[in-house]
Amino acid sequence: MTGPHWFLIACFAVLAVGTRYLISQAFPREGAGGLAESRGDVPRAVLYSLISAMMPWKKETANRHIVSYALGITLHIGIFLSFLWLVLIFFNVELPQALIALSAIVLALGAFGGLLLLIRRLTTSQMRYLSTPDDYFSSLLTTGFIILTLMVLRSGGLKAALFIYAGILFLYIPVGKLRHAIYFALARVYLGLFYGRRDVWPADGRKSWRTRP
Amino acid sequence: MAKVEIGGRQFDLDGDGFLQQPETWDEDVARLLATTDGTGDLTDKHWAVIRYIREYWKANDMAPMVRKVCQNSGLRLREVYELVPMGPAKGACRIAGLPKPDGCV
Amino acid sequence: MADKTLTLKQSRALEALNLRLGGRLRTHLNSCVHCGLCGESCHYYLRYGDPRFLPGNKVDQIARLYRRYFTPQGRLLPGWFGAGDLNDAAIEEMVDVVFGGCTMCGRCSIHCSIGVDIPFLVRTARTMLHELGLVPEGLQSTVNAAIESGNNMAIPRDEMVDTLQWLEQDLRMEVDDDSAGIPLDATGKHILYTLNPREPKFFPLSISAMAKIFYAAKESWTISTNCYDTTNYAYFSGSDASARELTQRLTGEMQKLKAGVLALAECGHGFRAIRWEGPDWLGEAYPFPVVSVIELMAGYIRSGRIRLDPGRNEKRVTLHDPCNLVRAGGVIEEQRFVLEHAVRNFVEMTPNRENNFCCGGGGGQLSMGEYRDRRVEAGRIKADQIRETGAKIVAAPCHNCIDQLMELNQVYELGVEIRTLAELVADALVLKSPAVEGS
Repeated sequence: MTGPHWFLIACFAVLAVGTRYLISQAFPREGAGGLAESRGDVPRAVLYSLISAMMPWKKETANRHIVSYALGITLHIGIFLSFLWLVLIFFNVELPQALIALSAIVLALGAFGGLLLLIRRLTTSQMRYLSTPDDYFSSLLTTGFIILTLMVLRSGGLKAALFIYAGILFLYIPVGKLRHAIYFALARVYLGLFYGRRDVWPADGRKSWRTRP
Repeated sequence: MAKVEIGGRQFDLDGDGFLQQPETWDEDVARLLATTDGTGDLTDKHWAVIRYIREYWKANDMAPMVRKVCQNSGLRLREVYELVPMGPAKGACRIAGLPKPDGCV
Repeated sequence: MADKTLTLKQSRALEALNLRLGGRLRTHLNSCVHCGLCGESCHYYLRYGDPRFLPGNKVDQIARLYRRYFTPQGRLLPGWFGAGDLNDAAIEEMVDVVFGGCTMCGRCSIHCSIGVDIPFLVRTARTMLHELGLVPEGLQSTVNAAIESGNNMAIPRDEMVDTLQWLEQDLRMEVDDDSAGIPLDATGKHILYTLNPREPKFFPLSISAMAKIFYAAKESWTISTNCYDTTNYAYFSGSDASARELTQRLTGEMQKLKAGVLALAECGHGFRAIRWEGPDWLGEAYPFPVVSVIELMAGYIRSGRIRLDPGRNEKRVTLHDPCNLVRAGGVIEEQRFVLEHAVRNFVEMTPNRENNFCCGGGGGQLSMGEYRDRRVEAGRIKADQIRETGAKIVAAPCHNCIDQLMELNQVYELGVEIRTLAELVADALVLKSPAVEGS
């Protein structure tokens, strides 16, 4: 265990405490779905909210923006894979070369996605209108994390740098827009409760896009 | 805020095209307002509706129920709707120079 | 929150936000990632392409205040985290966006990358503006009319009674039965039926239609002439106190008249407000069921209490889905079931149901004349949808939508009739039993 190891552990502890605090605040003070008598299948609606409702054919934010959506997916896969590799590298787990090579491709795609999304954020007027420095920084921070992980995989070195970088990332998650990592599932659950009690979701099989016969 | 002009006189309209100063209304204004919402030329039946609404508003500071409009103009309900395609509120009350009624109209 | 730069009203607005900061609100305030993909789900953005109308920017109207006053990072580095002061410029934009540029239709939430309940945030932003005394005049005046007079058009009780008696005479003539009626203020009935005040005031055909359907179904029902308003414009204005007051009056009337079921006229926001939001304003569930009259009609058809001949409605009919009834209310298939029995030729709009587009008149827009041009421009999407169906009749189970659709019909020259569901059902009613007809 070196200094960077301990730094990473300390930052992770801060993230864990911060996350716990934010989640405790995000829990309902009282009945989460309201007092009106439910008319739907709430558990199924929450599941629907977390899974089916996220499918690209259900969402205009995906199917009307298929390129941005695809880039977003590759970026997020890249981030999750980087976290996985962070754990593997931290514990010195040895893996076959083929797996490393495959990971490198996925990470490269993720970094590519992140960079293009950052360019989109910088170059389209409505994105600049919405964006805050936090948005640009978060984008850079995560894309950089993927690139650094990729460099570690390729070179075998730079591990200390990766730990310090990841530690800073951990510290930033609860304060910046990256905290959606904490709130995302909660938002889906709240929306699932809302639409579930009202029997709007689950909407599987409902032909709401049907063109006229 | 839009303005309309008739014979050199200017009238302010609110966003929905109702007169801002209802007291400035006259029959020329009514004829002009009727051209902008699909009502078209004003017939005697129109005038019966418009004058009644105007009188009622002056006396009661609100638009009359459409039931009263029918009762006093001798028109059937469906005739009233045919006369003013935008309905009694956004059609007839507007042409009669009333302020816009509250509610879902 | 002892910020010396804030006025008393501004502090009260922030306190209103603070009071509401439960888990659900906090979650939605923290979730938007500024992905910017939501614009195409919003009828305002689609028509104007103005980034102010991006749903993400609607979220920010309140989220930036939350970050500034309720998070440490927003207090320390407001510029970095997109936190903003509650000052005159911020308030001006807030009014323009949350009142003038949003119908709280919720279409963006269904499609949101994350799942932010955007109309919930917009309503909360409106609550803050209500504390600041900045609810647009026409909207506030409609709330005031309801609070002061008992209905949002300030109809005097005797005129209400007069109109309903007139409709009752018509009904008796039409069904040729002197026992037919519109029972007023009767106690112990199964159903207490409430109206949108625009029906008795200007458009009573829908009351006649419903009375005829109740007659055919041999329903036990009544209308209260003291308390009959289905609308709750305080839901739009953001005033929870007024919303509670209006809800309490209805629950009080239910108890007074010892009615079994509260049935709401075809009114989108009224259904949402009373059926779904009311118990939260009161702090307790109702001791009685609340239904939309659409559910009642579907039930009558299903159980055979009324018989319909769709041949009496030959023209092609399409259906508009009122946002608050459908996407936020859950009454989705009943109106389709009713139409399939009441008309010969029913075609869906595209998209429909929970994916429908707002008519443009929601969120109290009809009462805010200053935004009329935007309302009509944003409504062009609905107009195009209607035109594409080739329908001659648009069934719209919401009086507010009907008024907007009438205006769209005129502006965009659609050449359609806009009708309530009850009117179409009443036209298709077969009153006499087949045996009697045959003899």
